[in-house]
Amino acid sequence: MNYIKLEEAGKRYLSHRFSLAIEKQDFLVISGENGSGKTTLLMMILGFIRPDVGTIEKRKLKMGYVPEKVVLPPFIPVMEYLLTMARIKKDTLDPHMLSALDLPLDKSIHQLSKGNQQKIALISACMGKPHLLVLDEPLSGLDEEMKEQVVELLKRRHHMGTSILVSTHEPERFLHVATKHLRL
Amino acid sequence: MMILFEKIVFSPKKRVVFSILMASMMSVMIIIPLRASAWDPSYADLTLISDQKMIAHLLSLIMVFLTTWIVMDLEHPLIVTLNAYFGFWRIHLSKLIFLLMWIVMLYLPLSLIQNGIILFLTGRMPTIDVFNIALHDIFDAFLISTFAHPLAKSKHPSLALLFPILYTILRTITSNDFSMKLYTIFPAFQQEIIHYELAIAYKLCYISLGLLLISHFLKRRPPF
Repeated sequence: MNYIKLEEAGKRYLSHRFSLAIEKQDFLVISGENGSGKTTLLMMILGFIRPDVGTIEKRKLKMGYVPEKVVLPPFIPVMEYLLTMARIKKDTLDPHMLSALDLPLDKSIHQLSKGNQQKIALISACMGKPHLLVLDEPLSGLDEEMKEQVVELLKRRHHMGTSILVSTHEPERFLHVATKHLRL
Repeated sequence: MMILFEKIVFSPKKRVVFSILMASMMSVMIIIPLRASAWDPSYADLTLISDQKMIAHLLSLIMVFLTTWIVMDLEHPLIVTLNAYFGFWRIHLSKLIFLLMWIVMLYLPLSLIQNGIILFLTGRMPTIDVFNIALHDIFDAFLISTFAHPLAKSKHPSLALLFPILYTILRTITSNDFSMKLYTIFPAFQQEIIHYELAIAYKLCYISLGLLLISHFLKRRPPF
């Protein structure tokens, strides 16, 4: 069952045309050089931009999204932010995820490093049982140990039935779990 | 959803700015009727009418700026990413409801306090058509922020402030005749229009046009 299907979809400013299908329980890794169109492809999949050429067929999906540059409201304590996100997505906090990512829950978001903010964005994207998780460079700004943790968490999510789409410069970290690899 | 919007729009710093603005408006509202009551009683009513109009004018300008500010904040990247989960239309509708709710919540208490203070301090009933002015001001704020919204989504969101600035200039310096002509092109800026029955309907048509413009931009513009 296709969640999303792209046929020769692209933008005028890109030389690439994308043809791919994302199905239930897919773990798709997209890699490529800077400027190859990874983020544009994600934007088209998310529905944020429309292709100038080609077509996109999409089912009505709940998608969790972690952008490359995470911007969170700065003056909210981490726990309060996560509880708010859980409330609006009608979900609860996943204690396994919270303990694995080791976040300082009592601090305010503006006091956290880029890596920790990235983790918060990942936790909120996973809330509400999304059909598809779309992650743009989820490992940037994380240390080695945390990169492993994030890959493990995504693997666990994938086993729980969520489809995952990752755009990354480090595809080798995901290749053991990926069901498809698209190199641009 | 509203809780998240509130946390983003009313951050601690902005709460301080909002509170200062509110406190300043209230001080003006208290001082002006007191000053009017000290006048010769035969002129007090006239002074009161002109002062009330001045306060209403000031209030409408502040409201337009505040609502544009809220509209700009509602384009926070976090809210944009939520489009992927909830869908564009649900997020957009929630933003509209949030905006309308806050326009009313900010305007009505100030307007009620203004008239309550006049009644309490001078013993006179407010002499201007308070309800009608409030209705027009709320629609003005909504109209301006609706048209400012596509600019708030652009690469230079501060351009959205052009609308309230233009509103302030036109509303402050244009003559009645000229602003009446302007009203036919863009239905804001005109206080005398409250005497016309179709004025609100005309404004509603323009608000709908603004909303259509937004939906057009929603389809075509990238969110970042």
